[in-house]
Amino acid sequence: MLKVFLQFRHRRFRRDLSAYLDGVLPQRARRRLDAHLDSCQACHQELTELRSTVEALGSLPMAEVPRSFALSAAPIAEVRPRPTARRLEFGLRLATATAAFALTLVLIGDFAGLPGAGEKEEMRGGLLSAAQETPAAMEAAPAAPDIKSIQPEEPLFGQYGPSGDVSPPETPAAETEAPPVETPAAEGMAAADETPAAMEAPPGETPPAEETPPAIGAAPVETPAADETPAEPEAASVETPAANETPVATAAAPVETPEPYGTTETYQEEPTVGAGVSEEQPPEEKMTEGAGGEEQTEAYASYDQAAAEEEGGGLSREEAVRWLEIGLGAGVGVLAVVWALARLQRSIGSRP
Amino acid sequence: MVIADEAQLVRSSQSGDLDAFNALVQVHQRQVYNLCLRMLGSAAAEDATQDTFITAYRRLSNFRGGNFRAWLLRIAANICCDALRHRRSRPAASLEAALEAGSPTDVPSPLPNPEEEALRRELGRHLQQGLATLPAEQRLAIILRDIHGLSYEELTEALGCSLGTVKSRIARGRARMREYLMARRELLPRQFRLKQ
Repeated sequence: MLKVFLQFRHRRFRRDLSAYLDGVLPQRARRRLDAHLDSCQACHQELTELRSTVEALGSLPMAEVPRSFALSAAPIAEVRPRPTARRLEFGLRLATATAAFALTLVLIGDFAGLPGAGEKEEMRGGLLSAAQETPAAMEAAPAAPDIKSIQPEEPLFGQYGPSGDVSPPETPAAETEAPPVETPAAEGMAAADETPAAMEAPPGETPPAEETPPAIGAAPVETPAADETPAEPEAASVETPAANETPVATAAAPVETPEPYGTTETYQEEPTVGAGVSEEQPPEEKMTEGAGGEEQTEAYASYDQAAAEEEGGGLSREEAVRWLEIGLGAGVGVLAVVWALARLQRSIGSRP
Repeated sequence: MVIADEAQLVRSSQSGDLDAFNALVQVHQRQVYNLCLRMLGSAAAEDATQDTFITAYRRLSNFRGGNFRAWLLRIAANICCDALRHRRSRPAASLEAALEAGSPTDVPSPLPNPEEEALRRELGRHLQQGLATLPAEQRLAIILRDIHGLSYEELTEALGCSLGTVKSRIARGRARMREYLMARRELLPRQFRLKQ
């Protein structure tokens, strides 16, 4: 045990030898190393060799320049992307990640909360509120013009909504492939209702439609519409003037994906989401002063952390975002395939 | 060059005065060239040096005071790292090949004694080969610290990392250089041979 401890100490001292040579070791560490050097012949030897190495390196002469490197004419100034362009790019990337995340939640919810045929009837009450809630979110959509374009779903909601006419078979608007298609539609809504509650808000009372990650900060705006399950039309009008209504609309939009339109809708929405988000994105990207776009400003305080960074290689925020996107994209892709297969299987199985 | 003069030259350069910038080039070109020489070998050093000054001129507006030499060396270091990365992707142009083509140790020296000169060249060749075995960031740290004599504070600016990282890179680089030289102790010139 003592031997292990001594070995550990010895290794630590060896690591400090370089800083000791340069006189940049803190006073206390220096005194400790001095004491150790008196007793440890190996460290003493290593210090001597290290000193010789440094002296040898210092003896290397500086070469003369082969020519003058003065500029004969001013080079053309570098065209850097405008800050807004950079912000837009960052916003788009964030939006992609957000949309992927939202879709993942919806798909997971679709799996987790698949109600059977019997539950459908029982769900009507819930559906009514869900249908009322969703138009509330949809009404916020006009703020984002692109989202408007994917509103063919509205008739479908209309059937459930104000009329209260919930009889499942009458869904000509949502005619897609087979009679049992209605069930997925209802399930989709159910899933849309359940997903966030299951995934993000275990307490149950919190707004059910807050797939938007906290980064966007649209959740507070969402709250009124989602909380009041009776969902008076005022809820929508309250939402619309809010500053960040676009994320509200986008948050609601992915929820609709399990409807007969399939997953591709979500991808179509992405640019809209991007435009909405990017405008609110604060200019976080701080360009480093020196050269090279890929410079990383490591903020490691201690020597040990620095050593760890040496081993593992630092990970900049840009890289982290990229990997997050790749991870989410891959996850969504797998989920979409599995979801489509399961759905196909179900539709085949329920066919007479 | 007095620091105050340098600050004035930098300000003039930032306002588009090419002559002022060229005066800065004259002051720092030797350091920049030597860094590129040690990092890339003589074949690529000239281009890298020229690239450094062109890039520096273009990015002058980004320089917000501080140590101009460290800022310039940071640009050079990034260009060297890019070149090494590019070279790694094309193995035909390896560092060894570049070093063989034109060894940066072939630096004329004021030593009058031919024997001393031969010994010095021999040691220089070993040191350069040892440096070539280090990872790029350790090599940069060692070159800037032990050959160019930058302080640790300047190194944090030139390498764009924290003091802890600088210390760590130097310590690791030196330890590896020591191991490299000790493994070739017999090959080293006698008068530079490391003590047992």
